[in-house]
Amino acid sequence: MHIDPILSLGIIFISGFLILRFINKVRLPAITGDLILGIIIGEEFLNLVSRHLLSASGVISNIVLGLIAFSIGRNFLVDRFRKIGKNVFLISIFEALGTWIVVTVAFHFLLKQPFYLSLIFGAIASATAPAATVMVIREYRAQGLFTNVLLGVVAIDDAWCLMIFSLSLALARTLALHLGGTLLLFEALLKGILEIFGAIGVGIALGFIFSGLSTLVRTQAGLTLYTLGFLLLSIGIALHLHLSILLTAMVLGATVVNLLKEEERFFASLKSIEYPLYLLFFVLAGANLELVSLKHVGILGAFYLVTRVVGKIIGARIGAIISRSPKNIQHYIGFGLIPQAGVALGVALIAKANFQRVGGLIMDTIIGTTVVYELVGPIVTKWALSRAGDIKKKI
Amino acid sequence: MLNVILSLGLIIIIGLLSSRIFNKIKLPSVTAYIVCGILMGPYILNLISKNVLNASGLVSNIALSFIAFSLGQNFTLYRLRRIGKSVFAISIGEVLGAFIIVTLSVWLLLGKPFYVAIVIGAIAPATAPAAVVMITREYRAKGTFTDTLLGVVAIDDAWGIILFAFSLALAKTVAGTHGGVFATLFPDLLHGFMEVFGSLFLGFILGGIFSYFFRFLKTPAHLLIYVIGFILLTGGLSIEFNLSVLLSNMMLGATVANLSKTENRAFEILKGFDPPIYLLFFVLAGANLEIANLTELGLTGIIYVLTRLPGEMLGAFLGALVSKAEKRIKKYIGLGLAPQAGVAIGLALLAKAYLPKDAGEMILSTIIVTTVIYELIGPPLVRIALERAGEIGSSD
Repeated sequence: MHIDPILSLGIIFISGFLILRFINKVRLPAITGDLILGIIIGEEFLNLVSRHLLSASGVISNIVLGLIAFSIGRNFLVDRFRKIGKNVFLISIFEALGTWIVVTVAFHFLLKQPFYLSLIFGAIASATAPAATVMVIREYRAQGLFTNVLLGVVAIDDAWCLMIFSLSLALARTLALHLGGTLLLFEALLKGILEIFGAIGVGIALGFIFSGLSTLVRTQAGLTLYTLGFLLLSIGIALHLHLSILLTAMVLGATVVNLLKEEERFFASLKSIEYPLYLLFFVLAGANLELVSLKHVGILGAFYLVTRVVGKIIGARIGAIISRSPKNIQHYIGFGLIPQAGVALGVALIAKANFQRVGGLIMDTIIGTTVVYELVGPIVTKWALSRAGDIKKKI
Repeated sequence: MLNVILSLGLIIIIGLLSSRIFNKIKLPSVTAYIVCGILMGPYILNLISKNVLNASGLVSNIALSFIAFSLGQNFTLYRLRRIGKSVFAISIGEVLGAFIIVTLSVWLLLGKPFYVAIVIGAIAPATAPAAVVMITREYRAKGTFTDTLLGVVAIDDAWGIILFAFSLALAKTVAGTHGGVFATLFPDLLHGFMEVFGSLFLGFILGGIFSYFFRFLKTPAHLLIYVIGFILLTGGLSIEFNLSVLLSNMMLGATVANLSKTENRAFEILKGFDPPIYLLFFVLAGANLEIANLTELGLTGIIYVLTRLPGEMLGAFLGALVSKAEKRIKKYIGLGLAPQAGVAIGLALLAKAYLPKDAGEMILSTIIVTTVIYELIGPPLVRIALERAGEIGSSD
């Protein structure tokens, strides 16, 4: 059956609205509702999502990730960042490394998997899903130090994950295929560093142009177009140069917020565009979840699910202790990092391309565990936020 | 090749900056976007990704749905009582004027076969509501003239559909591709009426549902999702049932405007969301214009361009005269109907599907070229009409 893409969009928005009303009643985060809706109207059940839309999921998800990172960057005013910068930096490094190490070690020694495969799983495990975390924070209007640190961590954690992954990939290739050796490792490290600085450079450069030309904007519609246009440029350039979209868009947001006095107008102008895009993003994410893959999860997947969470919590906690963060951050920050989604799938795809033999195993495991993390993660994040005392009033 | 997102970013930023430049020389943003599209399009700079170009049809249906919905806002019973008679008379006058004058010129002056002339003539009255709406918004035009103009571009689509169905049926009979007059004329005309009334019915039903549940809405975010959902649902169902996306969404807007007490919120909330869609719509319209064919503007094309606007103006003038409209409406309303765009090309494509090969191709290639011209000169003429009628507020 070929459903018209516009009709399909209409159905998504109307039913998204209906499920929103319902999900508020049962006290679950709205995005859980969107994901469930996606599963229901996706291919496996009602099949009401047009194929055109499904094939545009990649584009939509890149735009949404950029939007989210841009709005996170807004929190990084220089003097505020001075206050939490150290915490964000240390926590993010330790949670990423911690997950990498815990998952790798557990896979290699407890499950007796080959070292290179354990390394790949460890590297994929370090990825988080900033979209889910940010949406939960917004929905419950969470505020406070914990929230700010968490936002910072999910945003820059992408950079570390990319580095860890390119290192692990190089190492795994050396071990499994006997290629290169130290030279390859060095190259991967260099490439990773270049990608990070490239993303920062592009974000800052665009941020300066943004601020420089901003006086040209006169109307409300102009404001929306201007902000959206620059954001899309930053995402597009990042994609073109294979840089981290999240890092680039975040640095753009951070640069704008520090350079412009009336930056509020620019960020606020995207509000109306964000809501429908986020809804679409999560419904499509739900439609792309392959419930059938849950059957293939098995021991490996169950192990991955548990060890990744353990790694996140321990790593984040060590980072929080070293950076002398307040108690609530030490206790709960790791729980805010549970969601995992598109980034992990993207990384898994690259791994699959590199290791044909175990590629299927990697994909099956990550796709299956993503279903679990996507559905459980937001609920855990909400719990962490309210335990940390950052959700003030019930809505 | 540029990726989709980079291409979109460039389209928006370049479109926005060039609209500032065009505004300096008193040209509307719509023209800036179209020119940008031509420059960035496949014939010149080739900066638009294939995937974006391929989505042109989708973008244009979505943009037209939103435009039509906001047009419907003008059809509140209160307003209709005031200007309904003029809108009705002017739109019928404009449609018949353009139709008769273009048909006669192509038939008698050029000596083309009657069935070709009548089809070209039936394409002539089609206007481009999107361009007109955007220009009235950009210059914050307000007043009776603006209301009447918006009303006319909204409902002339309905007359256009019926007239075109009638002409095409007649042409098929004369060209001998089908049986006798009654074998094709009657079913085709019925089909045209069905399309018009089906669209109005769909918009009315969905508008009723919209208004009924409207009171459950609390936050602006909910409202936005709700409004977008209904517009797309109406547009999608129209496409699914071969109805007019424009008429059905216009009816949706009109029903909502009449039934919901707080109707204004539903229309206002879209203003934060729709600018990128409209910009993209016009840039893609420009990119899809086949400017390479401009040199092939034949005699038929020249006659079409020269007679369409005078026909519209004369017809609209007579309509305004009959309905005793104000003097400035009589004088300038026809000028505001100059833009022509995708709807005309859509009709020409239909003609090509049903007429003998040579005639069909001639009509299509003529309309493709004349659309380039009217798409470019139309918007500035609308601005002039609004200015002369004294309804342009402070620009910007």
